[in-house]
Amino acid sequence: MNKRILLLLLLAIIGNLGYAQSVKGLVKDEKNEPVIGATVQVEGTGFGTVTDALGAFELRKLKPGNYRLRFSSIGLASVVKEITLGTTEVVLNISLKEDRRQMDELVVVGYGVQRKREITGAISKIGGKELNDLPVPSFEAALQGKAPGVQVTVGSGLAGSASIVRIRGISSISAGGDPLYVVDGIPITQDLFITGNSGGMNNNPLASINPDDIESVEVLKDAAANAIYGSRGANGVILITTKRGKGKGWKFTALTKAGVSLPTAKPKMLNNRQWLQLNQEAWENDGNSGMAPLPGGITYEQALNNNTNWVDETIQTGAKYGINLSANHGGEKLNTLLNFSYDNNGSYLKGNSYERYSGRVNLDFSPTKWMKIGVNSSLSAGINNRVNAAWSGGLGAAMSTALPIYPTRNADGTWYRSGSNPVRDMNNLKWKTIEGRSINGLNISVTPRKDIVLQAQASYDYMNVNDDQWRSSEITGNNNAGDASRGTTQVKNFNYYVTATYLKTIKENHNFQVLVGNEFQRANTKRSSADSTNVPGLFSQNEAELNEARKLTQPGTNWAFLSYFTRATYNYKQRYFVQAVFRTDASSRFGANYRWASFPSLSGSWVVSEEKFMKMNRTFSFLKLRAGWGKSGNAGIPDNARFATYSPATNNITYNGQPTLFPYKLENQNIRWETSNNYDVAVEAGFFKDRLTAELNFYRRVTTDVLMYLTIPGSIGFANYWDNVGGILNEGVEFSFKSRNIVAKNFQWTTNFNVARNYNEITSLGVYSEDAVSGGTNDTRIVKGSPVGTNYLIRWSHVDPNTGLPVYLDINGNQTSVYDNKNRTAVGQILPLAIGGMTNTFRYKNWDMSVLIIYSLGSNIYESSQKRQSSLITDWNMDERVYDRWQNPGDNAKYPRLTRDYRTYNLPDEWSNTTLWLKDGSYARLRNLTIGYNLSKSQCKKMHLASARVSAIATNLFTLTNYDGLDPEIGRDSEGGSAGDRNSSRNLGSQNITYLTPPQEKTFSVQINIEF
Amino acid sequence: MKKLYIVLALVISFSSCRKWLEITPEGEVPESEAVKTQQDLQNLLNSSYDAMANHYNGRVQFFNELLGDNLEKPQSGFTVPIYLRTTNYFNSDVGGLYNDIYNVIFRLNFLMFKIEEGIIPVDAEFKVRATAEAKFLRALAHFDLVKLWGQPYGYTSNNAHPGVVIRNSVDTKPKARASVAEVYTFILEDLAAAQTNLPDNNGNYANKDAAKALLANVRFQQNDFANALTLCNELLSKYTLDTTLNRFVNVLNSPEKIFAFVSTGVADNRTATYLNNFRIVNPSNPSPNRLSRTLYYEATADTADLRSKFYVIFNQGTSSETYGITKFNGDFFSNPLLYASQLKLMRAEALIKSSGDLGLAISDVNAIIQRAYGNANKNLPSNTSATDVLTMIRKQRRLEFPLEGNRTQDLKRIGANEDPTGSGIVSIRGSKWNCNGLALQFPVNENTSIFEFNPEGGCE
Repeated sequence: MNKRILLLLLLAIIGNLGYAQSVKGLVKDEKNEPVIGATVQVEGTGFGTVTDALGAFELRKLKPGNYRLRFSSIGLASVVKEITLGTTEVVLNISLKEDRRQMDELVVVGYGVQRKREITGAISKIGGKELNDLPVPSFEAALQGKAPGVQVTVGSGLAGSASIVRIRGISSISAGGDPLYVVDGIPITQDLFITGNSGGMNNNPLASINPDDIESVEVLKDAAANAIYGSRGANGVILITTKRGKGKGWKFTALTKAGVSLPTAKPKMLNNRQWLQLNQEAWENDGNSGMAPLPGGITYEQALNNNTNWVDETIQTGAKYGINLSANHGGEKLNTLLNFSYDNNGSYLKGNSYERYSGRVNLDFSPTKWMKIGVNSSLSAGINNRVNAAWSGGLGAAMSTALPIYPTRNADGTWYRSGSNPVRDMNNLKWKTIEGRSINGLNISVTPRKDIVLQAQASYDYMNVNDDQWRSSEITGNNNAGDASRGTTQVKNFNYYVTATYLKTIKENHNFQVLVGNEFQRANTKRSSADSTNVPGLFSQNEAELNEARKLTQPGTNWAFLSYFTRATYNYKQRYFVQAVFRTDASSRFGANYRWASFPSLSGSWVVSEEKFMKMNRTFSFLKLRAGWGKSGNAGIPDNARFATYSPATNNITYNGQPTLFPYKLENQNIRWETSNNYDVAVEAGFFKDRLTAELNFYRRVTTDVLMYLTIPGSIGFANYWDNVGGILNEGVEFSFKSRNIVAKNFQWTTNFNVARNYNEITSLGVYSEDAVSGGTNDTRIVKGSPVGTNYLIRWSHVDPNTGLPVYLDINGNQTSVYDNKNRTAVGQILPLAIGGMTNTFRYKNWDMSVLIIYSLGSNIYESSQKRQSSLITDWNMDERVYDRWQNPGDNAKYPRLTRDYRTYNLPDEWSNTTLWLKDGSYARLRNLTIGYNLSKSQCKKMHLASARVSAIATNLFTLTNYDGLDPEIGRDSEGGSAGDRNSSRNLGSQNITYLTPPQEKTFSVQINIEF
Repeated sequence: MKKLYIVLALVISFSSCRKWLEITPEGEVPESEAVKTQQDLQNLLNSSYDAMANHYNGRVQFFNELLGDNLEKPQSGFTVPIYLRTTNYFNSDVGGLYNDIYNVIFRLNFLMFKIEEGIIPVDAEFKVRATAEAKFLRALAHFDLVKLWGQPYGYTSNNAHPGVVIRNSVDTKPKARASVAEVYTFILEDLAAAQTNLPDNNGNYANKDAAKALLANVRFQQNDFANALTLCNELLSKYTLDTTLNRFVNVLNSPEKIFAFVSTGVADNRTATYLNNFRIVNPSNPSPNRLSRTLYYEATADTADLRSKFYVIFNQGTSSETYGITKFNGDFFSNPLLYASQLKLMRAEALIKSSGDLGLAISDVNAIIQRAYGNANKNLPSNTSATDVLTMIRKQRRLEFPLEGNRTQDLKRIGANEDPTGSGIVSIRGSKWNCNGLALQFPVNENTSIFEFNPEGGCE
């Protein structure tokens, strides 16, 4: 200690002379956590103080006597203690109980927590309970409809399918549009494309997270909230906090569940006779006579006998079951949480399920008053029993190339091979994707002085994905036991951060808090593959063959991220709040010129209801206005995007026996951060003692330097180029309310409602055209003045009643028979205009019921696969919608006359798109219906349980929509793996474009939760 | 306080590690490391040959043939619209070839830029030779681009009609199409420089004669018979006809060879697309792509012509009759690109068209005929009229170079010369030689405000 402090102490001691002993002690909450910043007031005097970072307080200078001390803190019920102060020191240990007023709940904000009242940004909190009761393919799907402005599109009915999550619209084209996922302060490996796309699916790194581990999820939506995550906050941040040990003593919970999975809709494909009839009709329409030739080496006799319902052959009633066991211990110095779960999430696709084994240990150890050590560690194995889907086969083949005239087996019992046969493919393919995952964090927090908290966290997120496939000799044609292959992807993600927080209160009313921090993250991805012939099964069961297999190591990729940040908050009398955040980030993905970027934010709020003039207001129990501005950024591009790279010297490509060297791609060292400027204003209000709480948000986000993987003129010599081009605008309004409609002793009814309207527009494209970035083959494009993911198509007018041929519209809207790509125009959008959800919860005595309805309005669906299912006869089967076809002059039909030749419709090829396949994508659906029964305390007591609950859960029971395809909720997995445009295809073409995409699942399940 | 200092010290020490952000790609080499020496530049040139060899491995030739009358309609895929002359800017096969050829041009321009820049030390011989080789390849690339994506030379009287983008630098800006006249001027300039600076002998790489032979082809395509004739005369004094009928089996050691792409083995095969399309693996099954009925019957009409033995027929007499060729039944071949047989027939035609030495023209075409029959029985008599000689030359061109990509461009050249108004005297598989769809559509990636696409259709 230095002299100055000694002097101060001395002065303090002298100053105390003539007074009685001090009052001191600790203020803690129910969880035995210190309450920082609690006010300690001596009633009737001007004396008071505030607790420090350890929850400690001390009052001096009081004369001996009787006092009433009031302890209060936001979110906690005030406590008054009467004391008598004499010559001895008074030590008080105060425990403050939670005051369940919604405005005062604790919210995780990134490198800390704040009370909802203090928050100056837009954050939605979703409790773990709301997430882990839904049988969903992956936890993020359960966020659907729960938070305003958070659009969640569940991928498909595939087990383990990833959802598309978009917060307040989308502001990227070729950079990632997904929010940043942070689990207990660890930005986890979340890249959906890490293992590429196979079988119509991307591996979902979020699926291995056990939803039962989750205590709460906070969604940071605006710049004031996510600027602390700087450059990675542009798409919003999803903070996941896992459960921790609390309370006193041991507590155990067990959960078990079982259920079934069914498709929400079944494709109605033609049977053999129907197909033969229409094929013949097309044959004759095309001017032929006699019997139409049949594909696949099938005779008419066989065709009439074979009537394979391929849809039924590829789907099943999927089984879902699982258990979760949890042990929770709260002690003096150590809090423990142990969680183990097994989950088998079977889908309705034959052979498809996602199994998860997961274990978690979370420890909180406080060896001394000034130090806390937290450990969180999870280990999980996600086993995806894979099947081909969509364009790759399985149900996708049943909806396309598998004709009803094909048999599964020939008369002699051998597999039918001359045409598409998904049953043969399925039975001769074994496929498992096994993801081993361990996310570990060590957090040390030190309080060296009462007003300073230092925290350091180091974490390691390890992921290893083995994609194992085995094909029998039936498929490979080799005369052996079969071929096995394995693709391995390993990601090591290391992260640390250190923060220091300084708390200061001046004269009780001025409260400061300053946080400074530094963070670094580095991730390394390694890829390798192995393959071998003559293996009797998957490599995972044939270690010996794996050791002997041919192995190939592919180049890995690395990225690193370094940041410094600070957050300063100030409030005056808990009434006026100001927050300033400044973060500066550097990413290895950018060249030296543009590596560093700064992301400031400034926001403030005014708790109007704390003003004197509002105190007497009976309507408002709470009223807060807030506003903020901030910058955020996006660096979601491939690790090596900026480099002009060349083939390695060892490329083994020669010409005339001489070595070669060649460029892979163009250089752009000036590629830089995609930047968003965010403006937000909001009103939060509580009415009638918070019986009704509501929130209204307006936002405007202007994104510039949009990262685009441009398709550049081929004559430049390369097809693509990364550059910062153009701008995007997102503007919107969000409204939500929670209303406790009926609050009686035996019956309660609560409504949660939210709606969000987002306007999205590409405001600039530089010199580039609509085709400079495309969402794959389905004709979504970037169009200036239209939203990201605009359907850019030739307009279909009608079927000419005289000829049965298509009539298109040219660019001027005039009817034409010519199909010309110059007539493409912006005709639809994959982004909805409005999204939201409504949850009604009813409680009657021991019964409760919760009903969640979600809706999405104003988007279009492009049913890309229907172009081969409803008039043009290719090698596909058709569905029953084809019957609305033109047959005779005078027919007013939806679909043109059947043909086997695309040129009949003046199309350049059989893949051509028109608005005939563009549909209204609006829908509302009963997402979840849960009915639960909680055993009464006396019943539980008899069984020696603390609590017990039985519930029945149904998801996706019914849907209201005009869409005539399978299911209007479409989040197709994305094309591309190594290609730079993988994000483009996800941002522009995953959502609301279906190409044989498996429909969502409908589930029914029963769950039992017990606590003892 | 100590605790605070320790933590602060840690913060500061962590933060100084900016080097952690210096990440270089694995498995790929940044330009600064890859291109440092003369050998690197030589390797870059090697890779340009390599890439050109892969694009001319039957692929450029196939696209030309698809537009013409030597092939049957392909079974499926994006080559079908090429056959139907209905390519649009989404045709990925067409776009793929276009992008690939320009990618080689980028390599060549980058090579020349690096040599010109002078930072990498190179010797004088290398500087001259490598630049000349690059210009030879760049001219070849532009020549095929303008033939496939533009209407032919002579389509308009001043050739102001749009050709292709000329790429003569590493500039990465979008550019407009140059006129056909400008493209040919550019090609001629490159070839003039190549001719001057290429060595007389250059192993398996382009030499002076290669530049001359390519120049002769360019001049001939321009219907510039005088210049073509001069070059043919000069070269035919050095190069003579081979006796082999299938020029793919004896390429590199042939007395005919002026320039060829070299194959060294099955894994290094520069005729892969030829083989993929036309190789008959199982004698009872047709090849993936089939010949047209007209080519088959013309080529096999006279069984005394030994070249007729190359042709095979499947399902003869049925509605599914198809035709194939056995020339490509092998594992790998080197790929003859410029050779004496071309010059012979070129000279013969140039002589007739320029009213030159008819006797020499007859002797040139007879050399080809005599080789084909193994005797002089079918040689043209010396008193054959110029018109009949011309007819025979053109027939021999079809029979001599089947599937080598000449036929369509021959018909276009003849159309521009003999049917400039497109009256229909010269047609290509039922369409006027100058119909829109006979020029391939550019890929959609060229869609900028300054780029003019080809009109589509019109070849029904």
